[in-house]
Amino acid sequence: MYSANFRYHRATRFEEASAALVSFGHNAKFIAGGQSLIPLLKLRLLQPSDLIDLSGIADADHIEEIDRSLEIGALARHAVVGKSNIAARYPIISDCALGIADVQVRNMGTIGGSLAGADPNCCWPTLLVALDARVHCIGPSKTREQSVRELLTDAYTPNLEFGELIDRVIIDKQALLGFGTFVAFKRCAPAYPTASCALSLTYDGDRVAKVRMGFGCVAQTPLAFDAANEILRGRALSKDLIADVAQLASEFVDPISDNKGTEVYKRSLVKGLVRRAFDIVERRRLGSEVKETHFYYG
Amino acid sequence: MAEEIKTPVSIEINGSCVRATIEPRMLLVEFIREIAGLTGTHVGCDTSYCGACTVLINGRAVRACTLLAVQADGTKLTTVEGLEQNGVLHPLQTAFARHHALQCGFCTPGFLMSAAHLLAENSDPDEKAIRKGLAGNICRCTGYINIIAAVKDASEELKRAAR
Repeated sequence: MYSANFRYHRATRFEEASAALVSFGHNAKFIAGGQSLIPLLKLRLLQPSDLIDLSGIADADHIEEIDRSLEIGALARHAVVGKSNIAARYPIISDCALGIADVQVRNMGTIGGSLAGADPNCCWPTLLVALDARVHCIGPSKTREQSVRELLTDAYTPNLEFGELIDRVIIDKQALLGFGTFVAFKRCAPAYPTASCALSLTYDGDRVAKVRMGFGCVAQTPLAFDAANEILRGRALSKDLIADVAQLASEFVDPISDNKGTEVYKRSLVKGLVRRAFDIVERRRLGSEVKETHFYYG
Repeated sequence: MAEEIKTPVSIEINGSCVRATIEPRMLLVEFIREIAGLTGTHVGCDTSYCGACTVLINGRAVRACTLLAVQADGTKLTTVEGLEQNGVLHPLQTAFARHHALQCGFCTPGFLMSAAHLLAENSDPDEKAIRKGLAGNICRCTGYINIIAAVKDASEELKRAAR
């Protein structure tokens, strides 16, 4: 399959890419790893006049702890993030990164591209909404920071101005303390999950101090489930309490019936994923190593 | 218009440099097959699912059907033709033959390249790791058991050779 013709340009700085896009007009597009964009080009769902390749931008794939936050460059590939020392320290990040699609996609796709696509089925958006992370954006006339929740208020339409692009992701380390996991149910590796769930828990002794939770693939945008924190804060976890949260979550999500399953099925799946997420977090708290957190059909 | 937008590309494929001036929309897999003339890299689904077109770009397994050739400009590529060295097959290739890890053989080049990437990253993968490492490749003859056995066997042979 061949896409429609386009002109191809390479950028070496974000500012240059932004200015180039503005000069080429509304039909120009940025390309990072291209793992979502190229299939769309091949199907001719998108027919841009110009493609501006960001992959030549230097020093934009760092993964660093800076003061109280964790910073990930927009061009960091999923595989690189997932195998980084920092991901080893925060398993919620490696769970998410190394569960994305398959090896081939993880070797090309980038965290910035995943966010800019604003696809509610993608894993990074779900994790970063749950953790209430932020993105730093570079536009033609100004730079700004916004929360990922603000960025992703609509499906496939990120809150980015004409010519604006994401250059890095910032996660408060506070959101990564304690124990966490990212679980998903998938039909097969290259497919998007049918549903996914991010969970990060901190404890005060045996009691829950803070819960951060989010769901992917079950609404027009990734969903932050802040109600979990209101229910669980200050309480000791029990099977019944987790069942209550799972039930509320299955009522809270807003899935549509499609070829991955009916609405009822997906609500039920969410309930199961919540229980699995709490189970993995508890096992990690007790010191056991849990590696695979993406579950496959069959 | 087509002439104006053509872009020069230079890719090192299996140690030799291949240069061409191409339309930017040309996929890497077409560049490999049509311009470099290396037809071992197969076009299977052409929709980023089956992995038959898997090649190594600077050592990383990627799908050549989901990459523009211009994105690979200046990189070093290994295709299935680059696995054998001086007429000697790669241990993965001999293990595939020994274990009858191919039936129709269409998916085999992709599996070999994903397996090569896996063994470069993890010299001693268990069955779970092999399955995960090959999750981006589909064998429509469904001969997965023998493929997994072949990769395990090749990993052991590579370890013996390294000693």
